[in-house]
Amino acid sequence: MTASEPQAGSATKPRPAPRRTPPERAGGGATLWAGLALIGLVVLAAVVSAFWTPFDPEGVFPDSILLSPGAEHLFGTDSFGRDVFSSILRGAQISLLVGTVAVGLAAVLGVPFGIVAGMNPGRLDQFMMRGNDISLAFPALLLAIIFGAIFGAGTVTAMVALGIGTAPAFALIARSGTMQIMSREYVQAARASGKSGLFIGMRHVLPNISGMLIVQASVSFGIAVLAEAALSYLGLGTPPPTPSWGRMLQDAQGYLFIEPLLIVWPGIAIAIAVLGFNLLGDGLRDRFDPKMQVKR
Amino acid sequence: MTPSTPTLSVKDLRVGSPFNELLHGISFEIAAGERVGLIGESGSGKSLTATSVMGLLPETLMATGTINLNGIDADLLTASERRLNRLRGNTMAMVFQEPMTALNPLMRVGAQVAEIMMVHRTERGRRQARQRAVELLARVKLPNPAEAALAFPHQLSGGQRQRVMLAMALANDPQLLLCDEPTTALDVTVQAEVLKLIGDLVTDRGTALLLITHDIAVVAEVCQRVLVMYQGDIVEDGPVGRVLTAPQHPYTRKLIAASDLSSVDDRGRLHTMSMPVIATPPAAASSPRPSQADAAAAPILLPHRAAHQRLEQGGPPVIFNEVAGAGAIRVRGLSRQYRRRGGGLFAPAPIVHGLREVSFDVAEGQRFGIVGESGSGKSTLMRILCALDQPTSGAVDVLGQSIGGASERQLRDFRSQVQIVFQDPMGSLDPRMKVRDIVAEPLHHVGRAEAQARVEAQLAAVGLDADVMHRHPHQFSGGQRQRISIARALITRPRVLVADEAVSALDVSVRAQVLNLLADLVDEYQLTLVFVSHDLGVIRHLCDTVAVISDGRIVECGPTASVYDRPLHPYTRQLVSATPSMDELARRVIA
Repeated sequence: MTASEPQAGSATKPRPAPRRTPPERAGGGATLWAGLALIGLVVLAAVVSAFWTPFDPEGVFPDSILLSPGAEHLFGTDSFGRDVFSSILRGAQISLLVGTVAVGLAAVLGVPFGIVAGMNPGRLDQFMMRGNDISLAFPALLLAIIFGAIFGAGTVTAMVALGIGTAPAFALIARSGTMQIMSREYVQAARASGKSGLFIGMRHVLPNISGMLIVQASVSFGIAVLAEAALSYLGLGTPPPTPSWGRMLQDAQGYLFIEPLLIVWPGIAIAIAVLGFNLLGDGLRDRFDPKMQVKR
Repeated sequence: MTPSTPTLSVKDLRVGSPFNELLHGISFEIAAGERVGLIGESGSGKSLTATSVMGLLPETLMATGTINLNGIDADLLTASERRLNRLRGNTMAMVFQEPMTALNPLMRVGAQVAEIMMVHRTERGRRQARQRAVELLARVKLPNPAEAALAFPHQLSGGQRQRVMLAMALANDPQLLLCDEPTTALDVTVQAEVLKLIGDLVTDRGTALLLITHDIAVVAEVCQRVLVMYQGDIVEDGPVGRVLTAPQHPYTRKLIAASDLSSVDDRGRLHTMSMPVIATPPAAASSPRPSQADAAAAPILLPHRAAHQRLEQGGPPVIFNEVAGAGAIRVRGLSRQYRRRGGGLFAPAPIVHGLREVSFDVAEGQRFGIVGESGSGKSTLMRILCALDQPTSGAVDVLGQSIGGASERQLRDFRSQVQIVFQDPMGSLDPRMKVRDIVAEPLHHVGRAEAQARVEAQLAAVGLDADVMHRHPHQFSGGQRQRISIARALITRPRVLVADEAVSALDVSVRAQVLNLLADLVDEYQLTLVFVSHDLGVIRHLCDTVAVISDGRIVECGPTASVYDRPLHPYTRQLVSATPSMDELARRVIA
């Protein structure tokens, strides 16, 4: 709803009062900016590493195996002699790529599914949502492992599997939002003037539920980054030599007692990315949700 | 305490945000046992006054001045939260507009009433408190108070819930009772009962009452004195009878004139308040509209005059307002049943009868009013007339199009011929669309430039400037939004316009403007109007024929004047007496 003036709003209505008072703007602001800053860091790493890294992260360098962090190698080197800092930078690319494609695929599959279900209450809705419930009960990670076994492990398999696995969550949210919007009088008015279901879905429903969907996308992105790391750790994600945070963890595991710092760097990178998207999601929720609530 | 000390005294109360002042130094006093009404439109600051007294102002607002309650040494504005907590619900109590949200849905109402006394330690034990709660529920005239005490809020009706709220408010014998729009959410017949109850209870106990409302009739019913608020100032203060019959301030005069739907100027239009917000619609400049009586007599416009009929108890179904030949709307034996969700978790869904065996006609060009309370089936009927819902059984023909079982393809022409205006001016416009797109929405296969021109013309016809086209709905007031809704409904030049409570959510002054506009447009476009409302005054002004609907049946139908002056059905009589006209009110107050 746009009538989101604060409590005293009813008293200010006739005057051209400023729509946003400072306290309102502050709501969720800090979380939002913290999230954006962390994500900005990850994006920066991905972009910079596309053009330049301090060392080549994809090779074997017998002269510099397992060096401690220092002036030359900021985070030290790993068991193949690769610069960890460079690997971390390059690894951001894969994380963002998998996240973007997985979330995009999930939205493209789930949102239309949910909107169609929400716009057709009754048998069709029941049928579609029971199907959705079944796929929702199936963990995305398990799906990725199965896909990996069938189609062979790889970045594409992981992305598609995560996308399909996340889609039911989008469908669920899109459906509940759609049902709210369908009860609004402007939808009734559109129906009374003979507008097709497609028009109502595109012009009325989708713009009005986009807020919740963006929140969901942000949170799902965090989950996808984490899932990609898990798959790579299991050897079902990105194949070597392309650096990936999850596989870096796995590599470092063997040297846990020799060079424990090796496991810390990718761990921090994953934490920053996931935390960033979760904070962004929380911040966006604070911004969007009060407007999405049904009026009393 | 001396009898001369007022119960509540507010001095120079100013409330404002850092950007603008909302209350501009208001002062008033309420004597012990005095019943005072505070009246004003939305945004006048009346609710802000009440929340200031209760110490419930939002933290973003600052207040200065003093508020004193008799026998309390502290200024309520500066008193600590702990101190206020002890006063609230004890020395002063408040009743809110919407009883459903003010009650805890998971607690039995008896326990909620008892809790108030436990919290303030006015009753020692739980047992005594519960017992007192039942007594209180009996005091507010709930049937079977002992059983009602064990009910959950959702098991009670709106009026019953509001009685529970009253019992809670009066549990600790407060000196001051604040009621904020206590009956606005209730049906008219229930409203009258609850108001009488409030009046009786405060008179019996000598409680001072501050009743906040937008409805002059409510004040006249209960209060002795009235304060009129306008843009954060109290502009008039006097006995109800005097203010009603001889208002001093120009605003009060206009407010009372605009509330009076039975009085019109020499062009047959309602008195409006001069609000220089919008351009005058060109329709107003056209020839003066013939007054109601002339319109009914004019042979070209209205060849059909309804017979005045009622439904007999247990009698056969009646075809109301039967039109010989082809009318605009023809409804025969219409029934609509629903399966309601709920009941028990495993119990089968109960069947609800929305409409039962409804038969009536509406002639071309007629202005047909449908009056009913919430749950009477009037909205269901309206939705079926617009083909937004399907009848369970019976035949419905609108403009020759049968609605039962019609596919969307068959309805294509129908859709542009029958349009609808909704109640809620906020919910009926998509917040994400611009006004231009909203108004143009019903147009099919119309080029961009032509659509633009037609939107512009239509906005002008409802009295809005063309530059509003690029704005979003939230930038408009309620009345302006309703004008946009009307523009959208009329852009396809429909023959039938269905309005669902189209002015019920508007302020009195804006209501009169929108009603005048609707009346003008109905004349200009020669529309058949079906106007659904709970407000008899509005229907009486706008419609030539009225049908009274109750519990899914039309119980009475006939020419408006005839139904209002000589109601045949007991239910209609009850409705009519619950909504007195302005003259009637003045007579009652003075008597």
